[in-house]
Amino acid sequence: MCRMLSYLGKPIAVEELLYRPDNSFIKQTYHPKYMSYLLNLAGFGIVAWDTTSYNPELPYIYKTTNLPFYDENLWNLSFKINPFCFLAHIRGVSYSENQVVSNQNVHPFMFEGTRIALAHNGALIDFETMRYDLLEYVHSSYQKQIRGTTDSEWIYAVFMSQLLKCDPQQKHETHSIIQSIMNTLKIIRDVREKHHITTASPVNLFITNGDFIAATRFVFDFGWQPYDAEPSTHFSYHSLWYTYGDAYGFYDSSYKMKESGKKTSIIVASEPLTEDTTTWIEVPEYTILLVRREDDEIKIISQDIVL
Amino acid sequence: METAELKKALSETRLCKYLTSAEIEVLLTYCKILQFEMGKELLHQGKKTAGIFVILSGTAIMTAKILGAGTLDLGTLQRGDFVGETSLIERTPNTISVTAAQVVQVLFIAGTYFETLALLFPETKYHISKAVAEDVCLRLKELQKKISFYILQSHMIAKSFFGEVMQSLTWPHEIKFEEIGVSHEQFRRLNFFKDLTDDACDTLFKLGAFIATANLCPIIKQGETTSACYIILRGAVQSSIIQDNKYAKLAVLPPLKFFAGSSYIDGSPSVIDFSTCEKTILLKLSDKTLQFLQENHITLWYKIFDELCLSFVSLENSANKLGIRLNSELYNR
Repeated sequence: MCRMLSYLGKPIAVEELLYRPDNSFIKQTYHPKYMSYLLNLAGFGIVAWDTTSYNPELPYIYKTTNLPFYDENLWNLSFKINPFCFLAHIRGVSYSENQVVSNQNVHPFMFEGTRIALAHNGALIDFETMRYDLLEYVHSSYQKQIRGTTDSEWIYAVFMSQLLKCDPQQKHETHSIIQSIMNTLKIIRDVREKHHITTASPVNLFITNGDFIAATRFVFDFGWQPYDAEPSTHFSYHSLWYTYGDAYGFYDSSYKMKESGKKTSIIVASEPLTEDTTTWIEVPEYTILLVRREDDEIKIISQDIVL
Repeated sequence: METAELKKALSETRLCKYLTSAEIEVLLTYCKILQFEMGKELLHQGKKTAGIFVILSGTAIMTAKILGAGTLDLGTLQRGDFVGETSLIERTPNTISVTAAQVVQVLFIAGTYFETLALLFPETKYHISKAVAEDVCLRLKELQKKISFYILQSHMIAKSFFGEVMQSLTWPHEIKFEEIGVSHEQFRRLNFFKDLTDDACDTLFKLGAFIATANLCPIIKQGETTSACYIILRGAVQSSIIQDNKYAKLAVLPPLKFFAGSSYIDGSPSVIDFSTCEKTILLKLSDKTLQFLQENHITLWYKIFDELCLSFVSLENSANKLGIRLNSELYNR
């Protein structure tokens, strides 16, 4: 299981979320609270939007296969970057010489010429069997941009292609994003069916362009895994949580969102950033969550995924 | 308090209503009487509790910090009330804090003692679990009412006529064990079954009915009165609250989880709807089977009851979470 962290709201120094809380994002690489038998050591990536930066519509992008808790550059940058929106990902893969650990496989993915980034927490079982059947659903301009070996980058390519269809004007309205995610999941379901793949495969996606964050909590064929299978991250629902308030910081001796009548900032993450989860809400299974800013307030929309 | 007074106080609590005088005496022998000064916390929201607190004297205030709503006052606990059972049974952090409003005396049933009861005095543990399950069912009904009212007022999308027709066409059908695609040996290695004796396992397979269902197949409808219970073998089941054909999801139950309608506990119609959310295989234990197990295979029956008690506690927690979510999100609009 990988880990993902996203934020939308008042500008915040990313170190406040990456390093400070007792279950900080960087700590989750070597001491994850959930599924602790698999560490997340196969790469760190972040995309971050800052209105005060040059070309503010483009995010800062930082990706590395270095272990983030030894990464001095990341530590130094985290004090300086003060974005209003970001998406970070740490990659966790099984401990096997077959795994490809490279910069091309580090999330979030963001194709050249696009403004949308995607990170994935999950795994499509038997992806090698279905990979090239997805090609017909990928727009030609994205086909040549797939550089890595992950199922995640292919999901991104399919999603971006569906978004082109649903939203040719690239307005990125809520309904077109949700529809594109649903279409992407349906395409994957159909390709799985074509190859008689019936083993559970989790697909938690995080998608953002700086204006919205969309996240899914979903598993194909949930509850169907070999009876004699060892406990594995690859069959179960991966967690997804959020918390909101005025601003995230150290209040009343713990890290949390400052209470406010208004929702001005939100964190959506694969696990809470603190041991105390009192002020976090868990997103239920088979759900799409979409958050976006409207009139200086965060609007939270959730919808059941029924394919 | 003197022992006689303690026994009397305990016998008046909801938790001990099924306990005999001898069982209460056993409780008093092995459990501690604790005293909390005014302002001291019995439970802290977000932390796990090591046992159940039964209030013997004094009062305590329940509060909960809710995202977006601040700290809410949830009422007062007094003599006879108990708290901490959800954390103990589900092994999850407390969802509320409880603070002594004056000097409070409690009987503290430690989790370790609760587990030991299963080995030494299983009937006593069952009596306590039954009282807990009844309490949880009552709270679940209250939550269901509140959530239904919220759904009624909201602009959630109702299920389409087509969806209803499709659902009505998907009915479960009985299959043979051989059709599940698993050997007895593989089955015996699964959670719950691996702790059963060969005899208990064979009894379950012989008396239970293996049911195969398509996706979106109703198993227990909200409002239905059925005392049967189900074990999910493959696939998953969605628990929901329905109002005016609008569905609000509670939780997804994965393989090897148990579920039953509230009729199983108190004979009332189920306040929760259970439908499959994947192609699913279930083991159904009818009310007659459960009755037979209670009379002839009591150890197995206790184990099943423990699992069902856990499922009701989990449902209550899910209903609490749904209530919070409905106040934060625009859900299925």
